[in-house]
Amino acid sequence: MSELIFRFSPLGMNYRNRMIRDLNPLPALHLAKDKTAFKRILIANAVRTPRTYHEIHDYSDMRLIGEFPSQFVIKPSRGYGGSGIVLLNRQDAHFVDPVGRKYRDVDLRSHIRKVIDGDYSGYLERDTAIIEERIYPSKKLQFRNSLGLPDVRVFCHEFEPIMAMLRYPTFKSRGRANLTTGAIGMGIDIHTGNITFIHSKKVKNEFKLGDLEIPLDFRLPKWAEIRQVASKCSRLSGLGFSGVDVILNAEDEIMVLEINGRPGLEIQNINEDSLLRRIRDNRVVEVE
Amino acid sequence: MIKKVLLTAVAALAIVAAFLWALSAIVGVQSGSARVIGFGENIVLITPIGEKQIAARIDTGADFSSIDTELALSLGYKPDSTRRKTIRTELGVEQRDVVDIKYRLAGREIASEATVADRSSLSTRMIVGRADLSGFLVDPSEEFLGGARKGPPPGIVVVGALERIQLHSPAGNIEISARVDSGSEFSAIDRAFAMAVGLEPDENRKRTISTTRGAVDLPTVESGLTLGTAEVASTATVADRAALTHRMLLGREDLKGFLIDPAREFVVSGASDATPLSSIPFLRLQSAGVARIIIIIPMLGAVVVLLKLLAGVRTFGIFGPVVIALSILSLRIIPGLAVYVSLLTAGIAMKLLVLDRLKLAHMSEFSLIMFVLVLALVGVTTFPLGLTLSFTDVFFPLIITSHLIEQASRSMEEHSLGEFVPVMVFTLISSVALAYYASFLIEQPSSVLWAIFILSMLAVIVAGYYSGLRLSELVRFRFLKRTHVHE
Repeated sequence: MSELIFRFSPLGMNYRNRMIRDLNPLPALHLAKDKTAFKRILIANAVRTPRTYHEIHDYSDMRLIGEFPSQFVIKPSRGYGGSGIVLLNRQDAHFVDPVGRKYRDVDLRSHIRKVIDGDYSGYLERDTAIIEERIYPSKKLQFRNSLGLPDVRVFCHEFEPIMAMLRYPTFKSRGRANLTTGAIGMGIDIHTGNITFIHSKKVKNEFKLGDLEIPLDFRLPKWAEIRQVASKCSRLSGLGFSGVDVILNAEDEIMVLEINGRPGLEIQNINEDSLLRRIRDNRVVEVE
Repeated sequence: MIKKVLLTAVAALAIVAAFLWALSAIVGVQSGSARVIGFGENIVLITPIGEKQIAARIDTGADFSSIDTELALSLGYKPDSTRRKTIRTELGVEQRDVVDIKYRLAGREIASEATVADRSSLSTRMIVGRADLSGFLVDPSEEFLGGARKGPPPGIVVVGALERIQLHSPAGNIEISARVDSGSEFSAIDRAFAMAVGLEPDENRKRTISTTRGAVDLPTVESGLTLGTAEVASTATVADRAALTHRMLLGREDLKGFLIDPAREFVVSGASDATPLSSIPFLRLQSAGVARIIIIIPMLGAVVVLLKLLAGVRTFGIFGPVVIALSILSLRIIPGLAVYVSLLTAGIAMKLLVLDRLKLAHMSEFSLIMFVLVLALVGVTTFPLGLTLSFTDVFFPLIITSHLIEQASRSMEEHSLGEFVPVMVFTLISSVALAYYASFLIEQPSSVLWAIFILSMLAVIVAGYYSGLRLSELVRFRFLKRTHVHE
């Protein structure tokens, strides 16, 4: 009924929340929120995901800091919106992040402690810090002036990809690919994998869109496979309405970073299209 | 380590000082804009049968306004015996019916309630009590000023509606709290208290005092007293004040040269632990009764929910704005907001400037923020700003602000100031709007209140089923809308 009324309008928060209530069962949402648990399921089902070096559950696990590799990513297991994610490289006695911010041993410990204390995962809820492999992007996705690891957000409705975008980190987003932190989003033609539109919410001067020299007819490599992996992930998670974050690593292998049970709606602006319309189309014709 | 701790302490003190300075500036502006009225004023009653001008006594000694029974009935008011008020007078405690009244005083329209009493033996048929006098200054030596003057003239001492005075008695100087009463010509003192401190009533020099139950002859007593820095030679009436809260009241005769601010207490005597301040709108909140306040809380919450679901207004939580609104109401709008904004600024400044550098554990940060906020509030109550705060005035702000600072500092850390500021601004704006809505609700008769209660419930249910766009999303997805309309 509401679909008919709002058929030509974008998907709003109220309707999105309704779809989440209807399509995403609570256990599935809990699973998606916990990156460590979902990674185990991915590995068990032969889906590639970045390797986990350590899981830090409490302060006593901090002794593991000495065993950290020379480069890694710190992630809060239950973080959202890219908060709390730090990419680090060892440089002499300390670490640096992609924009050159220095992390001494104290800063590293303080950041991990914040992650464990739940600073990035809701109100004072204890969390796990994941120390995982740092992934470098595929050569095919690197253009002049690109920074960090771009990822593909594939929006799935009832386990079928309906909309997708490519997200490029910027200086402002400190190497993170989340649009709220200032990354650049590009619309993707869901059938062909061609780049359609380029948008950014926040970036004004630090990183001009024009500087990212992307060919006009650029087509994402391995598009059909990316769609299949995204679809498989949403099935594994049990989420009928989800956003799957997929990356291509330096060896051009498809890896899944995480799945989001409450995906943001900015993707509509990036693709200049309504999710409601895509959902309707998805019901009418099964694509491919 | 010691350097860091010192740095924290210095920064905390600097923030508290800045906070006090900002607050004193705001409070100064507040009292400067008050209208000055006399102890008698002509008011225009806006009644069910039209407007009527009557002379009223401006009575800082009374909590609430009161109107003569006969006059009330002749003007078409219907006394509501279901919400009576307990009134303490020199004659004892009595229950009085209440009417809702609306009137103009010195150019300001006031909607309030008045107790109904037989005032046929008194010189004025109506008194205007403290609950209606917020924002006015009362001159106890003049009448019919009409509010033409604004603010206290330089050099004139402003006293509150309750002050601590030094009473010079044969038993020594005794500090007591006295009601500052523009409604009474002479000061009065409790008989038993006067005898106890050695002030012997002079039965040969009696005075005739009119009360609601007729005139009585009462003895007097002479004594000196200190109000603030002024020495006053007073001849007080000796009466039985056992039913009243304060042993003494100061009448107009002893208040010449002062101005009275009915909304404040202990202005010249500083903060006191004697009696907690009940600022004026809060009096009305209290008089509204617990049940009324409790039932408006979900109604205010419903407004926030509707704002979120239909308009997409982002606030800190649903009941955040509600509780802020209630405490703003108890503090009056401007000082209430001032307290909030300065507490928030102090806390966030503390968090961003100091705590983030110290890299403390999360919980000890939270605890330190509480310390700074309490320090700031204690500063307000002891600093000679003339602003006194009661427990209820500070309790809610303290709890809510520390929670808000937690949320706010986190959202500032992860995102930018640009994302935090609108949420904060919307929270404060909707709190002020809710405060106005709440004061509107409190004054409604019970039937209307319950009707709005049911309607709010239904509105929340309907909104829960609404799955269309929020108002803010029309802006967020404006480009999409356009492309699809043409499809």
